Order: sequence, then structure tokens, then C-alpha cells
Amino acid sequence: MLEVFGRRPYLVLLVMALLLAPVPLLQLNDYILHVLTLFLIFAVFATGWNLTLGILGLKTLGHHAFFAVGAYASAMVSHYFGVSPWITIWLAALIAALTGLLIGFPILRIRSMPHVAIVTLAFAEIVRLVFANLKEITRGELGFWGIPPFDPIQIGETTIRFGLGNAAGSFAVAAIMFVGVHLALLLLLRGRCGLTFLAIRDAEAAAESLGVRLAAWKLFAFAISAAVVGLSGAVYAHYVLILTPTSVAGPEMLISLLAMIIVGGVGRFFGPIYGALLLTVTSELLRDFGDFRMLLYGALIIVFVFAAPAGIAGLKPRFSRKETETRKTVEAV
Amino acid sequence: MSRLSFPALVSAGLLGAALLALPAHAQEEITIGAVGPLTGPAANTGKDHRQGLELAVKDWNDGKGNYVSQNPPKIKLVMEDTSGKPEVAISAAQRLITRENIKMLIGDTLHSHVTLALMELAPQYNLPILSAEPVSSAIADKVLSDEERYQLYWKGNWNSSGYGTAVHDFYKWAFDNKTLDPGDKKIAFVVEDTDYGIANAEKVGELFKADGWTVTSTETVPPATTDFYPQLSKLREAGPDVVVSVFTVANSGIAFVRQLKEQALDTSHLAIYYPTKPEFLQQAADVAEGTYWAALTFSSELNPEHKAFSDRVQAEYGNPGTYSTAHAYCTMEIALRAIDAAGSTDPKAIAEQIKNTDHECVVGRFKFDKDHAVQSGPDFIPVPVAQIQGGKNQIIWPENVATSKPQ
Amino acid sequence: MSATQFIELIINGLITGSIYALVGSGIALVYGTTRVLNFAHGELMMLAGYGVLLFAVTLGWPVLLAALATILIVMLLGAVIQRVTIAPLLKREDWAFNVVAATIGLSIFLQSAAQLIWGEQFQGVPYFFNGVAVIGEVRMPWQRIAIFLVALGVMGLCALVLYRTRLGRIIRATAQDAEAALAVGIPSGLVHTAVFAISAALAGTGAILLSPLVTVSPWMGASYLLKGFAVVILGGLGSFGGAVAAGFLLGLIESFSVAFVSTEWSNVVAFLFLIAVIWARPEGLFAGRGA
Repeated sequence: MLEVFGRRPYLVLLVMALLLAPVPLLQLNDYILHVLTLFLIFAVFATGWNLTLGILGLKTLGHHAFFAVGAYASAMVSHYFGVSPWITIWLAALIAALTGLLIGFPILRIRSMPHVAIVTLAFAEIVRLVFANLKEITRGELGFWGIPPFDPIQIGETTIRFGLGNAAGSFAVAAIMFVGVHLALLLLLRGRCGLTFLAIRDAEAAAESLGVRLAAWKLFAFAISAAVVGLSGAVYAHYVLILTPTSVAGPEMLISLLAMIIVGGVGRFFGPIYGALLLTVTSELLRDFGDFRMLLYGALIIVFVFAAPAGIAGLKPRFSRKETETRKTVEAV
Repeated sequence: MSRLSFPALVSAGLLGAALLALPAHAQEEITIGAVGPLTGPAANTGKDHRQGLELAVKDWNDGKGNYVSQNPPKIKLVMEDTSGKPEVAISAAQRLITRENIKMLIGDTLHSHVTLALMELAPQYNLPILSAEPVSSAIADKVLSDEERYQLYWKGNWNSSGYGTAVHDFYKWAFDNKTLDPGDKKIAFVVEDTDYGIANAEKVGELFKADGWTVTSTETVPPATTDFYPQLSKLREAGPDVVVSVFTVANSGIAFVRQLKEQALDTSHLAIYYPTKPEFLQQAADVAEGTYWAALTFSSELNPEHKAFSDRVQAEYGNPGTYSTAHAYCTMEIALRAIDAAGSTDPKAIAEQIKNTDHECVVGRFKFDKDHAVQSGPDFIPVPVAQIQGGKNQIIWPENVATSKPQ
Repeated sequence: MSATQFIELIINGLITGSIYALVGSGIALVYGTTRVLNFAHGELMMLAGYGVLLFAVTLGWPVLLAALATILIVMLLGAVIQRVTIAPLLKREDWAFNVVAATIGLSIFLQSAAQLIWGEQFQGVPYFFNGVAVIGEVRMPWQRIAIFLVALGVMGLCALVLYRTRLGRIIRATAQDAEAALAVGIPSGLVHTAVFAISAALAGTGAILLSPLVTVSPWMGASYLLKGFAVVILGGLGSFGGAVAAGFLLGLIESFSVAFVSTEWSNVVAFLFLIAVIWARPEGLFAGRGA
């Protein structure tokens, strides 16, 4: 547990919330807010994926499918039926969760890691192709536009607006989602549920023999994970206001998110957040290097796998090693 | 230091670095931003665009521009990459707006779906936006759906219906004068799965259906597909009288034409877009004989003006100019002239001057229509249909500009 | 459907399938022996594509010589990749996922490196064999027929090595139990490297055969990777013969789905088939002997 959450996870989350809270008031320029908003959305995406990938230990490679399902579901319901995005994002999370159950069933039958990886990858490809091919309703690669931004909120005299160009409001939505999702997951995972997930990851057979109903728990984890990713996709849709199947469910989405999780730390609760921050910010900084961006991106993944397999979250400054070692002994006892 | 705060420190440091990397240096000159696909499968075209845009700005600043006023402003161009993705483009554009303080945006230089996203920035940032090569009619539809909202957005190319109309009118002409036989009036499409391919297929299909034709099938293949045997086998079975293919990647086109020849299908074939790429004729000359194609908007061989432009690009960058280079050059000229004529960087004034554009440039006469798109046709930007004859491109339609008769 | 179209669909399916079989059997061979899933397998194809472009087109070597040189280089690259990026990770506890992550990173790295070195353009390679074979109403260029025949030959050669030679016995012994193999004096580390080289040679052969049809670009391998993986699963993870059979099956499925539904749905059909098979028979369709 300690390895996954660190020592005081609620405190860390509180510090993050306190760091985020004043940002909209800082009068930062829109570009920085835009990058930070993307970071927050991708951080939630990465955390949701990490739930199966790192915490449950199920090596799925197709979570960008749920991002796409969430994004398109919320976008289409709000566009075609005029439902407020404040409602449709929850619907999107639900639809993503159901999709998660759908693919969860066949995966349950498989224990081999490569099977899971390839089947989920193929599933994501199916989702991408379906959105690309249902041109009558999604407009395919032409791009689905006409997605409404979140309805403005009136607080006293001020009206908060959302969507592209209204950077402060969009940032606020992303930040609230970010803190809310992480808080909810912490509450869930610090209890029996989290212990069960970790037990399944570390010793599947043992967990089963102790009466853990593997199938139900795995499906539950899959649904929660898909719901979180779907929610982040929905918020993304109402922020960028245009979707194409390739941009949300294409291989580059897979690689960016996988890199965020690996760089941040697979199986560490806060790892994907650091990874999302590092990669969102560096990929913007590296814009100046033009063509070298993707090259460094790939190199970064390799370097982290070799030099820091536990990601940034697993990095320790040298002088605290002794402390860690003592802690390990305590844990062993 | 606890292990908790170390990652936080790393992250904070990064954020700090990101903030410091924003030197907003003051410029006396006016900065124009551009976004286009400089990496990814469309990067070739994106690089042509960059050359065209840069060359136009260079000419303008060197006193060789096509000025409106006596005292034209100096211009600086900053171009960023989109990788062909809408969200990357938005990010790039926002960076140009807030960091470079651009007064106008040329974008997207190629993709319609990226433009559909970018045009939202015009009302939100009060920024004039002029797209370069995108053609999808969906963009014009969007403008017409809310003209007030998109008053600062302009589309520097004709609508995809321009191709559709040209292809349809050419065939109608060819059937009427018995050059071609309409047979059972069946048409089929093999197009790439992009906004460009699909929009063109839909438009042509619509116009042919109105004349009593049936569309036997529309096969959409992923961009850069090069094996068409399954599709060709299906086509042979359906026996269409006209096949229209649309690809933006030249090699898809080369492969398609070659395989069509191998399969010896008895049909008239019209290609859209890819024969404009110089490598098409270089690699497919042996199999492309007799192919009809649209649109021969740029030809160094047939048009001395185009040749002069291509030679300039060759001298400047070491590669010949293409339609994309020329079109980007013209788009930039429209932008420069509008800023010059407006006499200020007021967004509304610039948009008003774009609207008033009536400019003869290397690829044709640029004049905007009510839907904010450049008009196509014989009086504006011509959309001529060509045929490959004796290994060379010849314009065969419309008759007033034809260099040869269809064979 | 006419008889001609039916025959054409089968031929097209077998030709596409032979490439899937080449790619898939290479992945299966590596997986069967080392339990490693190599996401950079597609990039070996891409590098072979550039190799043949360099030797056969730029330098103008005879096709056979160019192909041999390319295959040798790709084998060497495969061995280096295994030694440098994969072998060091195998000692880790969660190596399976580490290897997947590292090879995904490597794949992106190689793709962008190729883009920086050779540019984004799709480069054509002329046909190695000219002419079209006409049998009745069916027309088939020799280039395509050659793909099928050469692929069959190369895979046959591989099977011969695997099942009829000492090297093959060593490889199969390592696949069954690396530690036991080590105990009887088989250097399993070297065997793993050798298997990677053979797998790279299969990918390279596929790429060389394909290059005149699909053109060479930094992305040429990426689209075949997922198909290769699908083939490996359909065939039963790690089964060489299963992968070959599944490759042809997948090719036929795709070919027929283009005819019955439209092109854009053919990949959906192929991947749905994969998931359906996993649901019904997780061990694969042709699971039997290991590599």
C-alpha cells in the first residue's frame, strides 16, 4: 500500500488542490492555462488507465478506446439532443463503463499478458474504425463539430464561461474534475477495494483461494477505470469542441498516455500525474525542436524503462535511502 | 526531504521552466502566424506551404511585393507544426497568439478538419484567420450557419464542390459530344478516408445521381493505402462506367493506376488531386496514359507563369515549386495585402479587406464569395481537367483553355 | 458473385495472408522462445524497406544481392535490439510489461529517426518481376505471385530449420524450458539472440517482397504490427505453424470482407473475428506444438 500511495496521499492531494486553486486568478496567459488544462485532463485519463494497468496489474493497451467513447458519447448526446454537457459527461462515463464491461468479459478468460494487451489493442482499433465509419452521425475523419461548451455559470455579477478561448473557466472545470476524481479514487482504493486490487495484482491465485471473487472484482475495476477515462474524454470533448477518431483513439494517443504512465510510475497512485505534467509540458517546450519532438518522446520512454522503471514517483533523492530501507524492514516485519 | 516532495519538486521545476520559456519580446514589425503539418504523413505538403509562405513574406519585406499602400508594414512570419491533428493545432495557435502576439493566422495550411477546429479561435481571440489549401465544403457550411460568429474567418481555397462540379461538367461535356460512352450509367469511387476524399466523392456522386446515374460503391481506404486488389476485384464485378479515385498521397495514386492497368478494367478513370504531385508522372508514366484527372491547377510545362514561379522556388530552396507552394504564396499575399490595405492591425478592418480581395496571383484570381470561400471556375481559379497523353499532361477541358483534345 | 471474382478473392487473400504469415510467424517465433512481445517488429520491416531501397534502387544492385544484403543487415539489427534493449530487462520481476514499454518506445524512436534521416515521402520501389499472368479471366502480376511463392519458400525453410536441424532442436528446447536447457549446456542467451535474428529475417523478407507494392516510408511497418499480433494470437501464442495458418486465414477474411461489406469495415471484421476467437478459444485456433 505504501509503495502505491506514498505516506500521506490525502496531504499530497490537498497540496495539489491548493496549488491549482489560485491558478485561474493569476492572470496567466491563455496559452499556459491551455497547456495546464490539457495536463489535467490527461492526468485523469492516465490515472484511470493506471487503475487497471498498474494497480490491478492487468496490462491493457486499449484505454484510448474509452476516452474516445466518452468523448463521442457526451459530444453526440449534447449535440443531437440538446442536453447540457454538465449532464452528458456523467452519461458518457456510464457508457464508457458499460463498454468497459463489454470488453472486460472476454479478457477475464485470459491470464496471459500478451493476450490482454493485444485484444485490448484490437478493441481500441475497432472503436476507432467504428467512429470513423459511422459517418452519418460522427462525420468520421471530417471531424465532429458543433459540440457545445459547458453552459456558463452565473455567480453573482460574474459569468463564468467555458470552452476554447475561455481559458480560466475551462481550467477550473478540469481542475475540479482532477481533484474530485483523485479524491474519489483515494477514498475507494484506501479501503478494502484497493487492498483486493493489489492482492489480485501481486498474487492472483492466492487471492482467489482466499475467497476473492476474481471475476467480479476485475470487472468492477475495469468499469471504474473505463468510467474515469470516459469522463476525462467527455471533458476533453467539451473543451476542444472538435473530435476526430484518429485524434482521440489513434495510436498516438495510446503512445502519449502510455509514456505518461511509464514516465510517471506504473502502479503508483500519483505517478501518472507527474508523468502527464512532465510530458505535456515538455512536448510543448520541445515544439521549438520541431522534428525532434517524437524522437525524444520515444527516447524518453526507453530511458525511463531502463533507468527508472518505477517512474518519477519512484525516484528518491539519495540521502533518504536509509529512511526507505528502515521502512522496508518495518514493512517486512 | 521526504520522497513525497521530490516528484513535486521536479514537477514544479518543469512548470517554472515552462513559464520562463515565454519571452514576449516586443516587435516593431507585424507578426503573422501560420500552422500546418510539418511532421507526419502530410509533412511534404506542409513543407511546400512553408516555402510558399516564407517566400511571399521575403518578397514583401525585400520591396518586391504586390503592395496596396505607399508605406507597407514589415512582416515577420512564425510557423508551427500541427502534425495534422486538431488539438495540436489549437495548442500551437494559442501559443502563437499569446507568445508571439500574432495579428493574423494562416491556418490550417492543409487539413480541413484542423481548420474546422481552428476557426473557433477567430471569434474567441478576435483574430483574423485565413486558411490556405483546405477545401471541405463543411467549412463554408459552418460559416453560413453563423456569419456573425465567423466574420473574421476566411477560406483561401475553393469549396470541394469546385472539384465535384468540374468533374461532373467535364463528363457531361464528354458524353454530349460522344467522346465517351456513358454505358449503363454506373459510377464507383475509390477514395482515401479523409475529409478531402469523402467530400469529393459525395459531391461528384450527388451530381451524377441527379443525372440518373447509380453509385455502385464508394470504397474508402486508409490514407497511404497501396494495395487495391480487393477493391478492384469488387469493381470488376460491379462493372462501373466511370471510376473516380481521390488520394492526397501520391503513392496511393501511383499504385492504384498501376493496378487498374494490371487488371485491365474496362472503365473510364478520373483521378483527383494526386496527379498534381510531380512524382506521380515520374513513377507512373508507363501506366497512366489516358488517365483523366482534376485539377491541373499548376503546370510548369504548360504555363510559363507557373514555370517562372517553380524556377524561383528551385533557386531559393533547391526543389521545384508545386501547386501547394504557389497556393501558399498566394494565400500569404492576400493576407499581406489585406493588412497593408487596412492600414492597421484592427481585426475587423483586416477582415473587411480580405473580403474585398480581388487579386490576380500565380494560380488564378482570388475573390471571396458570400460563404467566405474563394470562388472557383473559369473567371476565378480555374479547375481544368487534364489527360495524360504521350506521357505528358494536357488540359482537355474546359475548351477555352484546352491544350489538346481528349483521346 | 462470379467464379472469377471468387478465385480472385482467394488469390488476393492468400497473397495478403502470406505477408501476415511472414510477420506473424516472426513474432510467434520470438514469443514462443523468449515470451517477449516485440512492438518494434514493424520497424524492422521499415528498416528492411529502406535497405532494399538503398541497395536495389539507389545503388542499382541486382535484386537478389540487394535482398540478401538487406536481410543480413536486418538480422544484425534484430540481434542488436535483442542484446541491447531486451536482454537486460529480462532479469526484472515485471519484465514482460517492461519489454512491451521499451519496445513501444523503440518503435516510436525508430519511426521518427527514419523520418529525420530519409524524410516523410513515400518512396517507390520498381517491380522486381514484370508482366501479368493471365489465366482465363483472372489477371495476376508476377510480382504478386512471387510474394506468395517466396513467402512460402522462406517460411518452409524456417520450419525446416526449426524441426529438422540441431539449431532447431536447441531453439525448441530453450522454448520449453530455458533453465533446463542451460543446465544441459545450451547457452539460452545466445539462442534468444539467434531467434530474434531469424524473426528479423522473416520481417525483412516480408518488407522486401512488399516494398514494390506498398512503397517505403517511416510508417510502413506500423500497420502490419497489429495484424501480426492478431495472427500470433489466432494461431495460438508462440506456435510457428499456427501463426502461418492464421496469417493466411486473416488474409482471406479481409479479402472476402471487402467484397461483402465495404472496404472501411474490413479491418473491423478482422479484429472482431480475433475477439470472438479469444472468447471461444483463448488458446487460439491452431494451438498445438510450440515453436
